[in-house]
Amino acid sequence: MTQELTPGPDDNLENTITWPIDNKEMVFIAGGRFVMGANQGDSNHHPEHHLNVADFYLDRWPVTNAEYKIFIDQTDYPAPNYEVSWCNTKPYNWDPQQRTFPQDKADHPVVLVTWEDAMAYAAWAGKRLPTEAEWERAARGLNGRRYPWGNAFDAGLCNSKEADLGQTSPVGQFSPGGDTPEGLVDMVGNVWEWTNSLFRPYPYDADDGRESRQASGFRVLRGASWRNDANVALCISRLDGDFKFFNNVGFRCAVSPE
Amino acid sequence: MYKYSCRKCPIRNRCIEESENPTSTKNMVRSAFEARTDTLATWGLLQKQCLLLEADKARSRSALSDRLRKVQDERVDDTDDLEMPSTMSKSKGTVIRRLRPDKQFDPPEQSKAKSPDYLKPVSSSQKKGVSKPLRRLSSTKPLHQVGDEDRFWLTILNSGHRIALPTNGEISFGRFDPNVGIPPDIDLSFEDREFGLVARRHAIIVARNAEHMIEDLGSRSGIFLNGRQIENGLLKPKDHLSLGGVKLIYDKIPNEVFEQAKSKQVRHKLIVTPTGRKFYCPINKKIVIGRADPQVNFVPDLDLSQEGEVARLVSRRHAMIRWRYGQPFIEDLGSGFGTRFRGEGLVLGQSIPLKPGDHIWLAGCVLAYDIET
Repeated sequence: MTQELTPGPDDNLENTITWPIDNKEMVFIAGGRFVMGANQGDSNHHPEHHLNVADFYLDRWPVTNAEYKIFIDQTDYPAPNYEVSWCNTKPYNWDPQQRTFPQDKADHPVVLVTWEDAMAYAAWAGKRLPTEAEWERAARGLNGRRYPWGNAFDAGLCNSKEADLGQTSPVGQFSPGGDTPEGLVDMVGNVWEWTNSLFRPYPYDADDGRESRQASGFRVLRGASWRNDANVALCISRLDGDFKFFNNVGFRCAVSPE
Repeated sequence: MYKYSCRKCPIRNRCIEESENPTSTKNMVRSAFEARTDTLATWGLLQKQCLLLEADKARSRSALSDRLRKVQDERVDDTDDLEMPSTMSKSKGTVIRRLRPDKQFDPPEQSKAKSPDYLKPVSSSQKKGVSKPLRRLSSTKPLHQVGDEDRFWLTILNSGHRIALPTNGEISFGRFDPNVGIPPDIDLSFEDREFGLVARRHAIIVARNAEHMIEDLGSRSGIFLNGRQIENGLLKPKDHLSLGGVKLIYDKIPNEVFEQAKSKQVRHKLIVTPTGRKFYCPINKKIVIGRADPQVNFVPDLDLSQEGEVARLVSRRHAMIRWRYGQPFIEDLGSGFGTRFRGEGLVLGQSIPLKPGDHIWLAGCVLAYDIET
C-alpha cells in the first residue's frame, strides 16, 4: 500500500451501516439526477421534472415499536396513547402506565406519532427526516420505477389494500421481493412516512423554503399505507399530512455523509 | 481491506475527533477529506478505531435485523445474476453491491459550509412534547326546540362570510379533497386559499340545546380559541376562533337580521363556497340548483357543473328554492346523493325556510345563503 494511492471505488465497500445510537441499519443511497413526479395520475405529483440530490443514508426500515420504545425510555418521552373520535387508535395504543407497545407488534412500524414526535426521535438519534426528494430517489431509483421492486404491481410484495391485512405488518414481511435493489424495506405500503418537506406544489425546489423546519404548514407523507390500493401505493404518491397523527402513519430517518 | 468507506461516512468528523491522533494530524485529516485528497493512509489513521465497526460489534442483534439479514442472504443465492450488475460480489455472507450507476453524474459539489440546514441532523432544541391525550366530547343535556332568538353564527373576519350554526346536531369544518375522504359540511378552502392550513377534517361543532362545543379532529394546524390552542371547548359569545388561516367570531345572530331578511329591500344571494362565486336570487322565482348536462340539453337556474371536481356528485336537478310569503324555502328534488341542511339530511318533500348564514350541502358542494342590503 502506497501513500499516494487514492481509496478504491466506493462500491467495493459495504453500503449498509449500523447507526451507533439507535442501532438501526442504514443504507447508502447514491445521489444523482432522477425523475421526480409524473404527468399522469393524481394532480398532486404533476408535472414530471428532473432533480439532483446529494448522497445520503436512509433507514432500511421504518422505526418499529421496539425501536421507538428505546427512544421514549431513554428520553422519558410520552408514549403514543390516544382516544379520539376521528381515528381508530385502539389496536395501536401503548400502555400508558407500563409504556409498552401492543403485544405482538414489536416489529410493526410505530404509528400514532406526530411529525414533532418523529423529529424528536431524529434529534435523539442524531439523524433527520429525509426530504421528499430523497425519499422519492430512494424508492424510485434513478430510472423512475413505479413501485420499489419494478414497474408491475404485485399484491404479494407490499402491505397495500390488496394484501388484505387491514392493519400494519411486521417490517420485512414482504422482503426481499418488495425491497428496492438497495435493500430498503417497506418503502411502499404498510405505513405512510413523515418527511421533512412542507407540502407545496411541484416542481420541487429545496431552496424555496419548503424544507424549513420552523415554518408552519402540512408536511409531506410518502409511501402509502395498508389502507391504500395499488393506484396510491406508488413511489410518486404524496399526501399532505393535515392531521396530527394517524393509525397508518410512521416514519424513517436519514442522515448525510460528512 | 476496509469494510466501510471513510469518504462517505456520516459520522466521520466524530471519528476524527475521538481518534487518538494529535491535533495537527486531525486537522490534516479533516482538510484532506474536505479537499477530497484523502488516501488509504488517511483512512488508516481513522480506521484503527472505526466507529461504524464498533457500532457493529456493540450492537445487540435484534430478531428483526437477523431475519432481514437472512432474507437478504437467501436473495443473493436466488437471484445472483438476475438484476444485479456484474460487479456484485459476495463475501462472508454479506452483500456488496454496486450502487453507483454506470452513468454517474457529477455529484453536486457541496462543501460542508454550504450544506443546507435541512440536511443537518435535527438539533435537540427542536424537541417538542406531544399534545395531551384527547378527550371525547359528550353532552347529555336534553334536547328542546329552539327559536330564532337562540341561534348563533360564525363570522369570518376577512370576508364577512357568515356561517349559521345548527341548534342541535353536528357540523363539520374542513377542506374538500377530490381524492381522499368525505367532503365536510362547511368547506373553508376558499377562505383559507392564501394560507393552505385548513385540514380535510379539521374540526366539528357539536350543537346541543343551542350550546356549541368545538372539537379538533386531529388537524395539524389545530384550533385556537381566543389565542389559546385547544382540543375541544365550549364556545361563548364574542369568542375569537381560528381554524388554520381562517379567523372567525362566534356570536348570537342579531334579531335585526331576521327582520331584514323579510324586507323587500334586501338582495338574496347564494355563494358557492368552494369557489366564492355569487348568485343573486330573483325574488318570487323558483330556482333549480343542479348540474348542466349538454347531452340531455338541460341547464338549471344555478349551474354547478363549472365548479369542477367538487360538484361531481351533484345531480342534474338536485334541489330547488321556492318562495313563500317572500321567504326562500329549500327543497330536495330527489337527488342521488342527497342534500344536508343544518346538520341533517333533507327528506324528500320537506321544505325548510332559509335563514341568513345557512349552508346547504349538495353532495359535497356547499352553498351558503345570505342577504345583502
